[in-house]
Amino acid sequence: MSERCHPLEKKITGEAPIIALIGMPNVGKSVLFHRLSGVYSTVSNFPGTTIEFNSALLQLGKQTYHLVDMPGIFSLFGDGDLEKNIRNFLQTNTVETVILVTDAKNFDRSLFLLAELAHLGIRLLLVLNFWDEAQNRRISIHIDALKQRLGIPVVPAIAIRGVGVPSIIKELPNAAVPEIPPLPYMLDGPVKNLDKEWSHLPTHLRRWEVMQSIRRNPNLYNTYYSAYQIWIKEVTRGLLTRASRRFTGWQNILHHPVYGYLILGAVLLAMYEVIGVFGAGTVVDFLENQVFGEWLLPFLKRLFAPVLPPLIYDFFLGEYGMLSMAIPYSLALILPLVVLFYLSFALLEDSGYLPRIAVLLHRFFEKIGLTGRAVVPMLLGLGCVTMATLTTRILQSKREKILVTLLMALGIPCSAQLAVVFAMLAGLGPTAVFLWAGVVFLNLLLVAFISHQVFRKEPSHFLIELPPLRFPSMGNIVQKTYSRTRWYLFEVIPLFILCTAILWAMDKMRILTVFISLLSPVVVKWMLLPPETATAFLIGFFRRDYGAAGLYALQQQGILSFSGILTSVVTITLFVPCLANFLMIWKERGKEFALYATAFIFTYSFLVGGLFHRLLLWMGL
Amino acid sequence: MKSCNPEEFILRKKRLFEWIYEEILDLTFFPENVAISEFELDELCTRLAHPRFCPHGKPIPMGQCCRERRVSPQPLFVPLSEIPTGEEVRVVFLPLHHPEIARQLYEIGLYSGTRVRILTRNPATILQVEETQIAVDDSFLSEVYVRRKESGKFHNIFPSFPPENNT
Repeated sequence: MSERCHPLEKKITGEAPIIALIGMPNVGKSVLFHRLSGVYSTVSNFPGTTIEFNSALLQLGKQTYHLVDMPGIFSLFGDGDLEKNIRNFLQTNTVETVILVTDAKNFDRSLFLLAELAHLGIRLLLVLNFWDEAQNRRISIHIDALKQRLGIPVVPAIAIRGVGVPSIIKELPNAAVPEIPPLPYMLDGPVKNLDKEWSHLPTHLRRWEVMQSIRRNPNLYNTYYSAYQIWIKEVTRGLLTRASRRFTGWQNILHHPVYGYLILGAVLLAMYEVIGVFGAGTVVDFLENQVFGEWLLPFLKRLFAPVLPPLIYDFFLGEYGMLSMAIPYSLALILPLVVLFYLSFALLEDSGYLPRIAVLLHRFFEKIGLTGRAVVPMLLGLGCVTMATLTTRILQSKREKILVTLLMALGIPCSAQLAVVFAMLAGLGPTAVFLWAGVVFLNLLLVAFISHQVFRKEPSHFLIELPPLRFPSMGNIVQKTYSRTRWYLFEVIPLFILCTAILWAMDKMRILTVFISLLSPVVVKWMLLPPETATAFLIGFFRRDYGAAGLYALQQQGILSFSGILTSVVTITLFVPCLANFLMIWKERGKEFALYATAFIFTYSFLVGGLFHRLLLWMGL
Repeated sequence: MKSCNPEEFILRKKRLFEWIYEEILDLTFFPENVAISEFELDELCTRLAHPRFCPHGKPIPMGQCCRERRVSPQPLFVPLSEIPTGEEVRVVFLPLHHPEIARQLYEIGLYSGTRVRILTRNPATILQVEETQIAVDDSFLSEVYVRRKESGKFHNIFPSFPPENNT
């Protein structure tokens, strides 16, 4: 969920030289970016927070630089999308300096990445972040010796507190290409051949292709890694000492086969209590029913009904009015819940708990042909499905990306939609919540299981790094919640207003009734719902959360029965992806997939809705 | 039994002895002329779990024992999958059964010399690699060969050797 992203995967124009932040996932590149440039980019305690590049201008003395924050990678030459984008960027732009950010606790494993950058002749500055954690764990690193052995500036830092940032700025001009041993002589022959093969390319690009080819060939890269792992041992010999540790961490209880699941349940319950019970039950009820429903709207209606001409009056206060629909829905109903959600989710992200959920659910995901890694985008989808679709780039296989994109579009409600659903179910008691969650979950499972059976292929390999549990920094929580709320206010609410204006125009031009009469046979005959719900589903085509808000209004008016509420909520949860997500799927997965998926989801959601309603009636609910 | 080509035999002998001298004795020189029969070399190779590359990444020719995948009753290097939970071991080599996995393991820091410990196998396998915790598929475990400690010290190839040769 990096809302403040600037798509920057091609060429930067302008004269300013580029400084890039590169490093392994979750070493604190984005914090450092924030500290250096003052521009906030989303920071969390789990690998893969930054997916797109962020850039900002950095003024150092008289010189202006472009500072670019990149997603975390293990190797420049990996097969993933992230690595591909970084390669493209480094090839098309002349990068003045790379700040290689590492975690001081295990900086030695970043030395492979350092060697790769050195082979490409890129000037480097090495940052040992999390210096305090390294000290606490009694890891001693001899900085001066390391500087000497690598021939580049090495700066210890605690980015989150800004420690070491001035020295990074001071050392920037001293950045140099590290001194590393040449490629092992066993590779001389193959490299010569590869050089010939790529001889049509200019020298600096040829180097890239040669390195890439070495990596693709198992025998060559084994020689390569063997040589450089010996080099890493030599570089760190004597200057890196680790105290032997006891591994009886209390943290292990989080992935205990029994307590782990209990804790996960407790965390989910706590989130439900905060968002569903407190947020939806108390805050929204007060804002929606008291402030808007009883004080503001009746007052405005009394005030303006005699003054304004009916057309204008309807635009503001009619059935599809700005002040009677767009504003109360977005500000009173969705905003408080979304803010509460962002807040509690930020706590989860920053504590480092998200990857632990991936571990807990891995075996289960394996059964449906995914790995635990897929848990991360799907959980992020609860924030914003559109952003999470972008995060599927951290997944390895194409099949996994497709399946996760489909599942998220089908049945992962985004925070805004979840908020409205909670508000609707809050009054119905825990049985309703349980039924709703169960049905949506079973459907996700069913679709995943079927597609696993149909496209059975080699399973992808599960590998996820567990960041240390950290106490969330309140500053970052507030900052992140603020930046996401701002995004909601300035990018989502205008969409609501636009949507309402379109509805109003359609209503006035009598087109709306046509659409509704088209939808109503499905809604009334198949789903056994009152005809008014057709409007809500129509709005759902623009945004699912707004459609859900329409259902909420119907519920408030007492039009829907218990089973009707449940059916409509399940249908809207499984409903077509919102327009933004549709465009994102189009961009990431291609046109055909976007269209087929939407068509499938559309039929599927109505199908399930009808069946579910019949089941509920048969059960006598 | 098919006897192998003498050049290959010398190469194989040299590279297998590199493992013993570098990894077990922590010495950087190798004996030039070791009189050892092919049968004995196979025995040695089996105890080393048939490494396919020398410590410097050069390929080791396959012997009869490698083709038959013989298993030693007292192996020196064992796959991580056979290590009980909680025991600290040292990575020796990655056998490259699946190059794609090996590459990921190298990059995440599992190369020769790193200390590893399996924290738990359920609900998923979690490894403690030096200062990092990594959750992986079970299939990764057979891609890492490690050396165990015995009574606090790492295994010695020649049990009668004086203890200061231990690492």
